[in-house]
Amino acid sequence: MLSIKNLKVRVDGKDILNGLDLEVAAGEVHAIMGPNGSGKSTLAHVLAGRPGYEVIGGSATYQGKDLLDMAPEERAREGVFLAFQYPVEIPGVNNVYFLKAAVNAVRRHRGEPELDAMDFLTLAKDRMKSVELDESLLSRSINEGFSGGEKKRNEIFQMAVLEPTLAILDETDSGLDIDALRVVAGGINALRNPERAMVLVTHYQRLLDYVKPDFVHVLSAGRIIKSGPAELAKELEARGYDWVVKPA
Amino acid sequence: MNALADLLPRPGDEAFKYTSFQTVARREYADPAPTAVDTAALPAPYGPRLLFVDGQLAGDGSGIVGAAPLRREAPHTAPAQANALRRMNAALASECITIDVPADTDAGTLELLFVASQHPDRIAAYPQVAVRLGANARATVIERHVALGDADDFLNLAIEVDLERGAQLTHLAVQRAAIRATVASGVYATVAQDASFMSHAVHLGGSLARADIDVVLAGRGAHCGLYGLHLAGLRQHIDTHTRIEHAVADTTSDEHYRAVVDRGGRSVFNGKVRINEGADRSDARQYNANLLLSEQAEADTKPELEIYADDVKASHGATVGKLDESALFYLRTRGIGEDEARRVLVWAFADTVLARVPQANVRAEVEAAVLARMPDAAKIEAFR
Amino acid sequence: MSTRNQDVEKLVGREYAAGFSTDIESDTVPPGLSEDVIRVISAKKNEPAWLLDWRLGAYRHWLTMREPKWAHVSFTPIDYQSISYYSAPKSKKDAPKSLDEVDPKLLETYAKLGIPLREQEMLAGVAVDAVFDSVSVATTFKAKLKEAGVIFCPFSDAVRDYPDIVRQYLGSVVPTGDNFYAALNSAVFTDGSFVFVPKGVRCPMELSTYFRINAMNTGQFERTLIIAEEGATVSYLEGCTAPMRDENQLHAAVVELVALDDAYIKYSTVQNWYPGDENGVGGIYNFVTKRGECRGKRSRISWTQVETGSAITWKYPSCILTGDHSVGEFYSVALTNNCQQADTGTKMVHIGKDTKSSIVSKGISAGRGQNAYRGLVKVLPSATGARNFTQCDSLLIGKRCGAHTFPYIEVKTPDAIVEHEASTSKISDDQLFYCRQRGISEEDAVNMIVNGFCKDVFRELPMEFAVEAQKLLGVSLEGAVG
Repeated sequence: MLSIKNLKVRVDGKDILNGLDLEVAAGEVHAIMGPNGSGKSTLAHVLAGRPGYEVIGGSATYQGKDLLDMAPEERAREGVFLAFQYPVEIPGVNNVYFLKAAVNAVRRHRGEPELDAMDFLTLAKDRMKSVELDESLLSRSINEGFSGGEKKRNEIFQMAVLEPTLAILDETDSGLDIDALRVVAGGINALRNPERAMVLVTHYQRLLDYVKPDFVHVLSAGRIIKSGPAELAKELEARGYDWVVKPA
Repeated sequence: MNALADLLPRPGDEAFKYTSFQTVARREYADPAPTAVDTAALPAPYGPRLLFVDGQLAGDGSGIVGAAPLRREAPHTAPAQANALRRMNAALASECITIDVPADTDAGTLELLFVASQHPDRIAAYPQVAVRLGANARATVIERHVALGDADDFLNLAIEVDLERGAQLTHLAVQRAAIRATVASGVYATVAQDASFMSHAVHLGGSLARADIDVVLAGRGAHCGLYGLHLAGLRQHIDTHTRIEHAVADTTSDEHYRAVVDRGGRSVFNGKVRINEGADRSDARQYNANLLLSEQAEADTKPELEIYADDVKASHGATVGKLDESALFYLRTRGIGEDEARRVLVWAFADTVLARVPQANVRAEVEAAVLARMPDAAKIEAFR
Repeated sequence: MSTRNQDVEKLVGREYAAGFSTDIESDTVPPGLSEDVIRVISAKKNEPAWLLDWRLGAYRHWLTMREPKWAHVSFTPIDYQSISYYSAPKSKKDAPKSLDEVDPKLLETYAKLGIPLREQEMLAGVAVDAVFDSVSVATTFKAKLKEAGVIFCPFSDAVRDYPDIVRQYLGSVVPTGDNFYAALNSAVFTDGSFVFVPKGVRCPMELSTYFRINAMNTGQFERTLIIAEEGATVSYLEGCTAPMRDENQLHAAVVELVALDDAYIKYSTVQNWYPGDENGVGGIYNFVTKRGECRGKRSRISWTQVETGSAITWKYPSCILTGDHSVGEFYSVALTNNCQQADTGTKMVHIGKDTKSSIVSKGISAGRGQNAYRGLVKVLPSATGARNFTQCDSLLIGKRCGAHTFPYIEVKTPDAIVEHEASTSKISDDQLFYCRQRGISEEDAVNMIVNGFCKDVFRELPMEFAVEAQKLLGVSLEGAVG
């Protein structure tokens, strides 16, 4: 589904990704781990098409199409979803209105009929339950005045509504207490299915206690330097990153 | 009308919308005569002192020593866009006292003491001072106004400040002019890259006091912080006008002025922040709070933003009101009498600004002076 | 003068008295302003002597005045002697015969706003019988209003039919010599609206311009007077969301509102006059004086405006809070794109005890637009217990626009609380990216964010107006981003 080859990315004149390779097939969950500054979030953002991330080499192919050539909204409509590490606040723009616009942009793109307000609300309310998000948040402005945990749950809720094909979750576990983490993980697990791939970007292993990945990759200095099964994450937790980054 | 009328701000001048100098235009003034003052009657200096008696530099000005040499220059001209008071100062000043702090030097604390002597005639004077700090130089300049008599003089002071790259100047103004005096003081600063200009002003005296602080943030990383307090009592009109121009990108400014106005007093604040085209990532904050203690007290405030760049943070807030009734109630439920509770809250309001004065001995002076204006000061002391 | 034109006049119920306009062939007075021109205007309208005197007084005062220079706008001087001060109704000779003759750009905008074809014709000033449609509608409305006792008619009809009321209130809120443009308007106004809601009456419907659409073209010097007697309530909607075809460069209208005890007047405006082209050529100078007086106890006046049109906007809908416990409100969205300039805001003058005012101003600058909020909050010594809260936000889109805030706060009583807050922001790259990552196009994202920014004002607008205003912002912002 996603094939990244020798990807090189520069941000603000600094080379962050230096030849990254990654293959993700439908139904798989990949965890990208690595120390701070290794390029994890850059990978997430460049796949979503954040402006200012300069691709200086390599390729990323998504469902046979050149992902890097698409505008951010095109990628989203093609089914690429990024759960942000720091979801932005947009004052005055109502959550429901926003999400309905997003859902219908995707549906239009797929040639499906748009949802009306009633259908959308039914869908939204159903999905809210999966992340135990309070319904009153629906009528508030996007992320405005949300607690850290609410913002993260809101991201997973949006994912549940938008039903992406490829979900990239950037440090979704950061800043969550244990209960919130369990809820978020539950939301993610509920969305796992054979057609959907997920890339979990995380610094710590604790999310992976709840969401068991098929593969774990260690990112260092902009390259994947080690890949392995879920157990690799445990080893990283126990031994830190140094033993992989700087082998004795 | 006297000869000054043409030079004074005219009615209709927006920069003087709430402050009229027409009383000055109606009075006759003499030029200052050389006067000796009893130095024992003067407050202890905060540092090397430059003494101005009735607006005239006393002696040869050798008071400033060491790191900051002094020059007497021909008066500087005012730039075309200068306000009427600065133009007036430039037109009538007889000389400019220039203090040069060489690069990479810490000149410490310098004091400019303006003393109004006891004299029979009403005097008008136009002192002009220029302070220049070379690259990475540092200094604190204290502008201090005291009165030995109660003359209704007119002082129009202009201080030009030029800060080169990385220089840091702190300006502390302690204005305790005679209660009948008219005091206009303007500070006009240009701040180069990574330099910073900080100003803390406390205005207690004068029947008409006008302070202008005009700062151009001319280089990247330049910063200014302007803070001040007005205490306006009976027949006092105190006006501060600030203008901050963010001329280039990555400049920051912070402003916080407060006024406590009692019966028969009036406070005026006008703060303009201008962010020029291209001055991206400018960050400008401004706040002005006014406390009216009594009837026949008035506050006029005009916080202005003029913004020509989009990638900026700029905000201002202004409030005018009386003491917070709920705070008052809270104190009373804790057993504090109403009068005392009021005084404590007034003090707390004022001290928000005073507490920021960086030099402890100056802060002690202004705090004591503010306290002295409140009845039953001793009790408030206990809350400090 | 076409017969059709006269037909239209009859249909819209302007029955001018006999003796009208026999001496002058054309219905347009030659350009220029003098006492004679004013006498002609007054005679044409068959006005009573007191009104002519009132006009002449205003004119004489105007001669002594100068154009205000303090606004943060710049423009080439207006030649007041080149304007024709009487042209009612406007000649249809030069009007387009059908929509085919109308600027396609204008039509494109109408289409985007979803304006029905018939309405498009009216807005574009097409000289067809579009007006006939709404006459019947108007008649139905009129009957309903009459039943309730509400008077809603062209200003000149009011002068004829209700001279005592007009004489009592005209100029009582905006005196003839109030400012340069108000004085000019007082001297030469040709028509406008008159609303009178008697004691205890809740006006049964929104009085909208749509209803008044055929009485439009009242020229550039419109005069509106709205009076709500004790306990009366009325909501008046002015303007329309589609750009108006108009040849007049200068608009100097005056609106006066009077609210007596417990009365409530809500006045909503959506102004979308021609803003000029991308290079700032052409466009309307909208120099308007709007003021309401809360004369009665517990009365309330609420101004809501969405200003997206005009090359220059200079207007400060204000409230004089004379009555104890009265309330003044001002909600504004002003958008300037391309070379538009706006200097707009409000004045809240607190005179009565326990008076309250709130101001919410949202300025959006794009292109090379210059947008200034200018407001005065004045609390007089008598206004004990007065409260004001002002929120003044600017949104900048692009590197070459300007956003300015000039609030004046004058407080003369200790027993008042006045609070002012202002902020400036831009649409952040993070916000845009977030929306785009969810599949929303950049243009839609901008619209969404701008509408979110304006939400506090839009919710004050009547429902259908709010929807149109949202669409309008989108259209007005086209090309501002990217």
